[in-house]
Amino acid sequence: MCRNIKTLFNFEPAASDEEIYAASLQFIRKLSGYNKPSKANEIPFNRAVVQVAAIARTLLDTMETNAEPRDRDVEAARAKARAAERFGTS
Amino acid sequence: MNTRDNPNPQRILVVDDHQDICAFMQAALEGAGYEVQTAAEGAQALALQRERPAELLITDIFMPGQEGFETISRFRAEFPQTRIIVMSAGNVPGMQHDFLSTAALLGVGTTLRKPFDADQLLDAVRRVLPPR
Repeated sequence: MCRNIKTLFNFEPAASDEEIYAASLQFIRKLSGYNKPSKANEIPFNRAVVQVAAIARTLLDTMETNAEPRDRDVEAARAKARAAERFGTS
Repeated sequence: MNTRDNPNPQRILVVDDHQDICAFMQAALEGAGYEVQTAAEGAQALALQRERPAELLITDIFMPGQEGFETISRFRAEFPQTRIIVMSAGNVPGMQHDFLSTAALLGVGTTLRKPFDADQLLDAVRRVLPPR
């Protein structure tokens, strides 16, 4: 599940709120063990997603680098190549 | 009626980290006669509220710094009379319902789904903040 969490720093254009939300949701799903929380756990679950997303947004906005911004298409191609090597798919 | 014509306008606090959204909402609400202050995140909103309380808080959920749910909880505890509207883009598949229902569990009865226009904004505001 956490394999779906991708690097979001130093992309051009910058990571969107939605991308950060999605990664935060995956992280909290993994930690909690629930894909969707019960009604009783809805507040802490969703609150945790939003809090992780807020911290991640702050992190991405404040980190610095001299490296060239990443290109989404290039990164996607690299990920596909890694998956092909790992799982023997083309 | 805008705020220049109203000597005692109702005060609204808008919280969103996107400046363009704050500017749009401020223009729409001030054009309808409300006094508006904006904040980029929850801690800043609380500081403004302590200085001069607003009758209505309109807050985004996902913001860097103090996010929306924390902000709602703190307003509920410290300013129980303040009415609250939550706005959310909800563009993550399967999450829109959950976030809005969580806002309801925290005592927020009115939500605005982004993007919304000025009429939708004013309709929501008038539902929770009847004219004096």
